[in-house]
Amino acid sequence: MGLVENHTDAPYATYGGKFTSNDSWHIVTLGTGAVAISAGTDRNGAPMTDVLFANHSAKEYSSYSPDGALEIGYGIVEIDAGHDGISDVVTPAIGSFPLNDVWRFQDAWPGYNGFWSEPSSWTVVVNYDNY
Amino acid sequence: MFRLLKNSLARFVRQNRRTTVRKSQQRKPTLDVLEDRLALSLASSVSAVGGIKDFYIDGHSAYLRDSQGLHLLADGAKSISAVQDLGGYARAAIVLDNGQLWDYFDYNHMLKYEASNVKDASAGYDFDAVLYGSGWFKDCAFCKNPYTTQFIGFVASNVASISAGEDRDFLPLIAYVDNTFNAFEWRLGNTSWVGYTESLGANVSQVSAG
Repeated sequence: MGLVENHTDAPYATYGGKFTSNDSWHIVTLGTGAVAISAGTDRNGAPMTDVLFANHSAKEYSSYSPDGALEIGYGIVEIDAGHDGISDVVTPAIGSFPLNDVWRFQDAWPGYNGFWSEPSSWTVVVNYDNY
Repeated sequence: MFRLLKNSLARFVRQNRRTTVRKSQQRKPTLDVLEDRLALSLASSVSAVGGIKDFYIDGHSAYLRDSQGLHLLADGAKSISAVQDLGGYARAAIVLDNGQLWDYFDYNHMLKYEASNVKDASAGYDFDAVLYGSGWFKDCAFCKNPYTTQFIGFVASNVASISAGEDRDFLPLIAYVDNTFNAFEWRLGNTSWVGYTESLGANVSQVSAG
């Protein structure tokens, strides 16, 4: 377990819309330990894949990833990729087990070189931290 | 283990927090064991008319937080999936603990009943991917119209998990994994009930459609 791949359809048949051949596959990560994935789009409308690993870390793979992946963070139990570079991140609340916090992460707009311009934004949606 | 996790979380929050909102203490549903999870469904945010809409489940209740404030959508909720829908408004498919599926439409702030005996639902552009968990359609996946609640396509039987997306022509696309860990992609053609299925491979634990 752990191999994550992106699949992209080839253009469909003109009449009826049937599948055609030459779909493409792109390996997102070969690292072991991926336990959950979520597909969305980045701020450029390009594919964005969030990957949650067994060690509770998460990475985001998109067309803007300078080195192939953006580290979202760790201590994460759920990540849900949306559109426009938005991801929902769930973390256990500190000092309030078994409650959870929910965060909204959004990529910054791309910089001049096509990579992210920092910082991306974190917005708390639900916060049960107690410390 | 717990200590390590707690310390890691503290560092994570210190490094990344921007704002803090305090709420009263309320129990949330305990998350399943990570490795057993096939769907991510506790929170779903979408950029739509009116700004970013944060849909989430807290204490078995479904909420929407937006620029207008916090809105309770439904009690007894177990999963939520949001999408930007017709006209650019947000819409969310909410599955309740009792198996009912309701859709929330942000354009009129109304809930609409869609189905019962539902195991999971994933909101797509102008459609819902619906997986039934009991009854006549147990383990069957359908493509449904959330506005009319009508069936518009049969996806497959023997289905374990589903994910809604859109294809290259902006038509409904549903990726799913069956009970034998084979993954497929189903697309609705130009006509209702005419769909096309393509294999995505074997030994797959989860598939997510974008």
